Amino acid sequence: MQTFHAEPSRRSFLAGLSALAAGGLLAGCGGSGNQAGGKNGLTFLNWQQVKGTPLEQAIQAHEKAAGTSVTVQPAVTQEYDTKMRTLLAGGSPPDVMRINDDFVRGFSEQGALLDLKPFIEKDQLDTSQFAKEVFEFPKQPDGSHTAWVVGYEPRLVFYNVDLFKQAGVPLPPTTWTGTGWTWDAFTDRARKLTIPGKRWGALVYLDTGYEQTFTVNHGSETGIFSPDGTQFTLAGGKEVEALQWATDLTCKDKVQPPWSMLQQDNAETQLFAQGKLAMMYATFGTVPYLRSTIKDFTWDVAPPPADVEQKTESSVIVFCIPKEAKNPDQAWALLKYLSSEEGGKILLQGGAFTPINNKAAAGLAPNGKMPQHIGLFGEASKHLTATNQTKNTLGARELYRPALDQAYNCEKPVGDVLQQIKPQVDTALKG
Amino acid sequence: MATMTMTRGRTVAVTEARRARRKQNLVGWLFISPVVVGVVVFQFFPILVSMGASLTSWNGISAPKFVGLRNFKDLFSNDPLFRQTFKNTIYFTVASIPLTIGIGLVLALLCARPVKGVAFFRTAYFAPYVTNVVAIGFVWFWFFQPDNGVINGLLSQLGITGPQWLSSSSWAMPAVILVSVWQGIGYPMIILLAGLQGLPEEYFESARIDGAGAWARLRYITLPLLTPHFLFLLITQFITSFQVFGLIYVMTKGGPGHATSVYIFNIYQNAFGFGKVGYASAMAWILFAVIAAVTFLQWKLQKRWVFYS
Amino acid sequence: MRFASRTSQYVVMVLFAAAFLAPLVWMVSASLRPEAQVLSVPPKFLPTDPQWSNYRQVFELIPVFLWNSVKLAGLNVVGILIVASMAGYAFARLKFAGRDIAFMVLLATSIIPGIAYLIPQYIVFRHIGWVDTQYPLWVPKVLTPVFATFLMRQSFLTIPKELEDAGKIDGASTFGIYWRIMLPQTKPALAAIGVFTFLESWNDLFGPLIYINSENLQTLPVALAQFQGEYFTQISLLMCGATVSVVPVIAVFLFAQRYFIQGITMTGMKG
Repeated sequence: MQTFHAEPSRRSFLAGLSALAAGGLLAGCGGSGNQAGGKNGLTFLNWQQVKGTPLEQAIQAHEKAAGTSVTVQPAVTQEYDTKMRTLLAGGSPPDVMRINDDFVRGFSEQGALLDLKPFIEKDQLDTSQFAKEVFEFPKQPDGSHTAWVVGYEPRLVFYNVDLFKQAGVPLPPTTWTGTGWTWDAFTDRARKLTIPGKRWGALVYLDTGYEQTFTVNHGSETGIFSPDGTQFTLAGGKEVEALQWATDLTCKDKVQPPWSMLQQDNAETQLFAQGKLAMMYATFGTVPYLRSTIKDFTWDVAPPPADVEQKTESSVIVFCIPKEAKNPDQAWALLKYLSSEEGGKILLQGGAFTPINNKAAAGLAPNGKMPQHIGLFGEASKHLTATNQTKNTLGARELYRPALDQAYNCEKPVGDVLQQIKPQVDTALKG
Repeated sequence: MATMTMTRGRTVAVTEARRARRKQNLVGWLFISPVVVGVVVFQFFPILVSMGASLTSWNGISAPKFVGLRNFKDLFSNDPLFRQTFKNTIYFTVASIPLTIGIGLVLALLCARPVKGVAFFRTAYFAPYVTNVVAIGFVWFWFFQPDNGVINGLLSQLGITGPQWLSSSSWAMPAVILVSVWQGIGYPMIILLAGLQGLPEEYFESARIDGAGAWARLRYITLPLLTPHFLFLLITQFITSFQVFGLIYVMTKGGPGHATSVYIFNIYQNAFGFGKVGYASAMAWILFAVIAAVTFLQWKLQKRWVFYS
Repeated sequence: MRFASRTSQYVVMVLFAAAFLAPLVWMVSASLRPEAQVLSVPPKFLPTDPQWSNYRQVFELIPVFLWNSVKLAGLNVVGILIVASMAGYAFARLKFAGRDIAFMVLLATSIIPGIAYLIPQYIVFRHIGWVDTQYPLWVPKVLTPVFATFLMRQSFLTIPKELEDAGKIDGASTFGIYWRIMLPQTKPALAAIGVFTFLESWNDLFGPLIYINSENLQTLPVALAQFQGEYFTQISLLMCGATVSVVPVIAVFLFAQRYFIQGITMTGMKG
């Protein structure tokens, strides 16, 4: 019969447990996080990897010039919204934070962002050196300037030069004033470039920027929403026509890949890179990926086809200084540098966006890499249109975009779908 | 004299019993003390705040504004997405749980036999469960392509034209359920395997002596003895199926239309996308009420079918 | 007769294995393709031009992250095994006031979706000074292992009472019974919990993402998620990262398998 040594075993167990706890606390002691900041430092958060990009180089250049140290925190694109909102709500945000342009209005109204106007005025910063429309984007109705645009990514039509040449189809124009680049001409060229089952001629409707661009180009005064953001104008006559034209590229003309094929990240860029898509409406941000992936054909960019207008929409690269930031002055210094001519020249090298500084933007050149006409991304600043936004337009968007799936899948006409969803969207816009 | 001793004896007995019970309580609570500390420190306060938040309109940053039950009213009367995502989630849960547990049981039984190379098979069935959800979403998205995908390719070999899968509002959810079941089977399989290992030898010996065949042993001994594990699986799978959206989101982003949008994604989007933290909290509490009710029901019903030795 | 059933069993198992492994085989082959050909149509299963450089790129990223992931997984596994088995035993076999209510409350905490109280919880951590440390990634999990406790409870309930009674007769303390008699009987459940805890900690993306700001504390999933950018995803690298990430978990699983093999003849499934 065994005797169980009750007392010692409990003691030794408790001893073991406390050893574990102590060991765990020591091991898990990760408090040495380099949350520097301090007197001459600041923390920086982007939603994409900064390492190895021109942004990193620009930051390092600033560190040297200003004698500060910038700690870049790692972040992940997919969960960025969660992290950002948690950091802002939790009260310990980094000093400079990337912010989704969709959220600038909302966060400003909630008082989460620092007004930069005092900084601009104190330093007597000459704002005419910046591309006006995009620079003014973070300006709030009350005159405050709550975020900072460092660059912008216009959208253009990417096209496969070799495919055009092979099919004997005239190339798209290389300047913004080229004539003959009408919507009909676009569709016509797409038809000539399409080989059923093997190759598509064009892709327009996947990039959501097309909604504003193509409706405005077709003659809409407002695009998706009215200027005060209270009305859903996308359901109007001209707007519906424009959207239907883009949808018919799939449903009627059969020159555009079906919606189902495109519902995964990268599906469209993969198609383009494999030479299975001749034209694609996409943003400047796609350039680095195409440069590293495409090895066996020539590609270039062209303005969007012109109808009544020939504008394009641009995404903006926006950073903000949270109100609770611990080092706002150093943060401002960094932002100022990034939008300066010197900073802009460094950022230019990435070939991913147009620097906000016009002088720097003028330096957009191919430098031996594709696309040959990269300068168009700079010229685009003169042909921009932007969606009218309020804090409620985000919610409204989440209602009408999924509804459009039915139209894009060729199940219903665009007009029917939008008319049906309009009441809900209007309610959402009222907040 | 005798009476007094008797009374004193009884009093002593009662005090001793009380002391023993107190010691029992102490020991019990000691054993669960880490868990108590954990819940009180890390969950009690945040959950209370969240309960309060559901009665406000709050964006997480500026001060919350008390709105009473308006969030709940809006959810039930003004929010079609709320109803749709709730329906979708029920569909998903009801379809995937029986499949996951059922096939998991079959695989566990197969892998419990001393077949050669069983370790390989066990690993093969478990592998999807441990793989990164985003990668899996990508792979299956590609497999489900209507025109060039593997699935429709296989179906056409059998003379069937496959549907549009992820872009069809009626087939997207079944596709997502299939992938989710494929990925999730590893969990019940392992739990049931562990359960099978723990079954006492004696019952099987006596059954074999009595001449019971394999099927009979399965039906009358193995399965009843596994019922505690089945209860565990039913309750936990029900809870988790309401909280998982990663895989679905990667494959369909909730589409087409809102055919595969699930409840938890709606909560997430409202809280962190639109900044309607109060509204999202209200949604979370409705979810809690539903799951708690079902779990409670399952718990109470266990007397009828769960067998503890 | 037996041969036929044995072969048919094999056939079924092989078919299942094919269904389970096919997508993963594609994933590994995608990890070796040049980016332009990853989503090629029709889908190919064997890479024609293996890009081992993809793996080099991934490995260059990971040393510190790998160590952090391993450390956290270890802390989680050891901690949860101890806490959950103790609590599970108490809920299964000990009688004490408020036992069932406590268990219900514990279960209830797992029903509320974590994101509903993420912000208040973050504020709690900030007040304790745990933001940008690794503590939020193991201490709360170790102290609130709901499902693990539940599973241990169910496992303890299946152990015949006679074993426990024998221990009581021998004069063992409650702890002694737990540690010497009951716990060894639940090795399969412990192995299962070990595997799942390791897995959950290993693949946890959300926790490190929200709570950790410094690169030297970051874990593997966050590092690998960098391949998904704003406009495009480097698919081949993503698949590569996923493959690399799977290997340690499979290793842990293979190690834990011996606890599933124990007593394999006891199930009476032979023949």
